[in-house]
Amino acid sequence: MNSKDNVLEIKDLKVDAHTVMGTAELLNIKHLEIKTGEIFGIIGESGAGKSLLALTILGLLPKNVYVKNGQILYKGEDLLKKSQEELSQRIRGKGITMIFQDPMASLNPVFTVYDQVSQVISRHNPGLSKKQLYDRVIEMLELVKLSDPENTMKKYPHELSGGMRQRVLISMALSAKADLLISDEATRALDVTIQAGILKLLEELAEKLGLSTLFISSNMALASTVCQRLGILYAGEVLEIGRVEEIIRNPRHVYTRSFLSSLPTVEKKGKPLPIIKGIYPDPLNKAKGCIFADRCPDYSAECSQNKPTYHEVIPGHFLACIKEEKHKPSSDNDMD
Amino acid sequence: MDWGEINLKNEVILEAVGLKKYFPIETGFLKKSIEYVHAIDTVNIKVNKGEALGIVGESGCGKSTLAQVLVNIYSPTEGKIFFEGVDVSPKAARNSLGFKKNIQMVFQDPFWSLNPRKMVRDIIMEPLKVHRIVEYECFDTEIERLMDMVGIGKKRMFSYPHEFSGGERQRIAIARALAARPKLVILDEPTSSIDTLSQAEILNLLIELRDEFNLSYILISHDLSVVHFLSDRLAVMYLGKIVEIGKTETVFNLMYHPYTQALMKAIPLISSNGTVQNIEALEGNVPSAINPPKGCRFHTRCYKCQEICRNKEPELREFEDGHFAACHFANQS
Repeated sequence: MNSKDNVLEIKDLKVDAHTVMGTAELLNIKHLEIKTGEIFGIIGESGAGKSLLALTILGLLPKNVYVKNGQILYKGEDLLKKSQEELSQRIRGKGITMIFQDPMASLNPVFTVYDQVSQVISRHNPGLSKKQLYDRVIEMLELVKLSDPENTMKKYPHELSGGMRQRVLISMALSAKADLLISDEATRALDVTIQAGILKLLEELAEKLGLSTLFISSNMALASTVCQRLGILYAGEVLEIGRVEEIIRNPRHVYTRSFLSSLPTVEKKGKPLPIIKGIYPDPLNKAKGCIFADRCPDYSAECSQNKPTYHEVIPGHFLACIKEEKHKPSSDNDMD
Repeated sequence: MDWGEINLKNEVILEAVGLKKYFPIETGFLKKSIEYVHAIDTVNIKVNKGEALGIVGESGCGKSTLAQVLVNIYSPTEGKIFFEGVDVSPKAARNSLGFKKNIQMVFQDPFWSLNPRKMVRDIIMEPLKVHRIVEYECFDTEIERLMDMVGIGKKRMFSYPHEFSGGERQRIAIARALAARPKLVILDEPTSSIDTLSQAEILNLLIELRDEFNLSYILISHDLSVVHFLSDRLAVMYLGKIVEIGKTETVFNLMYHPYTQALMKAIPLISSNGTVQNIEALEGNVPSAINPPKGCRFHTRCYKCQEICRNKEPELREFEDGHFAACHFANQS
């Protein structure tokens, strides 16, 4: 594990929130890394903390939410130690950038595409001449494969289709040459045919610019088509991280297995889909032991006593489950 | 024209013949209509008793409009609708309670389709009252029965919608739809706004209910894996027209129409043995429904496009038993 290869590394991150009902434990991530140039997927249901993780990385937490402890290392620098001013000057936009679910809500309806893209560019490169700015906008729109950039940039967001809007947003996000893109369900509002185009674009950008992407999604099939590695997030905790093929063919955590088996694939037609009993954990009142214990079919008493250690089962594949620990008497060396 | 039938022994519950819905675009002081949005253009469908018909297509292809015309939210511009052999096209017939009771709808987003100011009991009670399903004294037992059926504890009868999760809300919406004891339920993207695990529960529930009450479904979705799981027959729509219709398995395996192929290729799927399908994007956008392209409506994006496609609109032709596609070059690869 060479930390130079990682664009982002999260260590022992705990995020809590003050509420009227008490303290809610929202995130508890032992270790997570995003390598340079890779597309890393975070999969979870709604309420798992996927979007909160993105906001924590960007330092945009709501007022009542705070980081209890941990480190978020972006190219070796701890983002949590930086001031808001430093973050907005040097990190947000220039280093880490983000695209959101609904492109229409992220674009300003009263300005043209040119106005909006050029504003971002001139904010990060003050002193560009009009001509230079114009060329940069064209360059950015060509980068995201918008057809006919000269005409497109004169249009208002409502004149564009959903896929084109999302492309404009990606071009804005990348216009300050960021090297980590956070995509928060960016294709959810799009049609499947358009979605496929955006996914292809993300893959190309990763290849061409060496852009790393944190791909947040609740759709396992979608994420597995673009990502190289996946992390499974459940109630704020990462249960399993591994390469996509490993996670899909050989899921080790019961939750991952249930998640996969509840997908209605072609072969499962005519049979009831297996489901997990129980309800999602309440962040105000989290279990002391394994977070998944009360819904787990392989439950035993020790599960609810101790938190499972987060260990490496095979190289590059991490897991938090007591049962698997016993099956494979392997190392705890990731905890060093 | 008689097509789209898989089992002649089956009774047809709903049939639409030559259905059209144009929305006028009104401009100027006199609200003169000069242009029309061709939302659905000459659609023929049949739904058999106990069958689930899936409808897929991109947004803007008219699948939701079709559902809304069938359930009488909009009246059709042209065409006839038959319910159990009775012509319900006249306004009076469609507005009668007897007809409305038979077709119920479950909407896409359970966060919007349930009245936030009403308790679950009142939400489910509404159809019971309107359609006089049971006597007033039996309302509570009936509501308990319905809640039990969709798997929500009857203790929560006096809760409000915001107290439920997305999956549970969709169950309440299903309970409300079934309260009127319909024969046909139209499901408009029933699982697209809920999580994967809740989706599995809802899909199981829908199948159980169908087997128990011999319901027919029309399932509208853009998620092909959901459609494949639930439906017996599948119709693919593009720009207001059905381009391919047949048994779900045949549509998935044969894919006569180039649009069906493009749609299938764009969908991320994991198969049970753990292989991930490589996705391919379909270039271009759906053309405007105000001035749909001449000839075949798909020709602007089709890789098979030739001269004839630009001029002559292809008819639905039968390729297999009960499998139709509208393409000039359907059986040439």
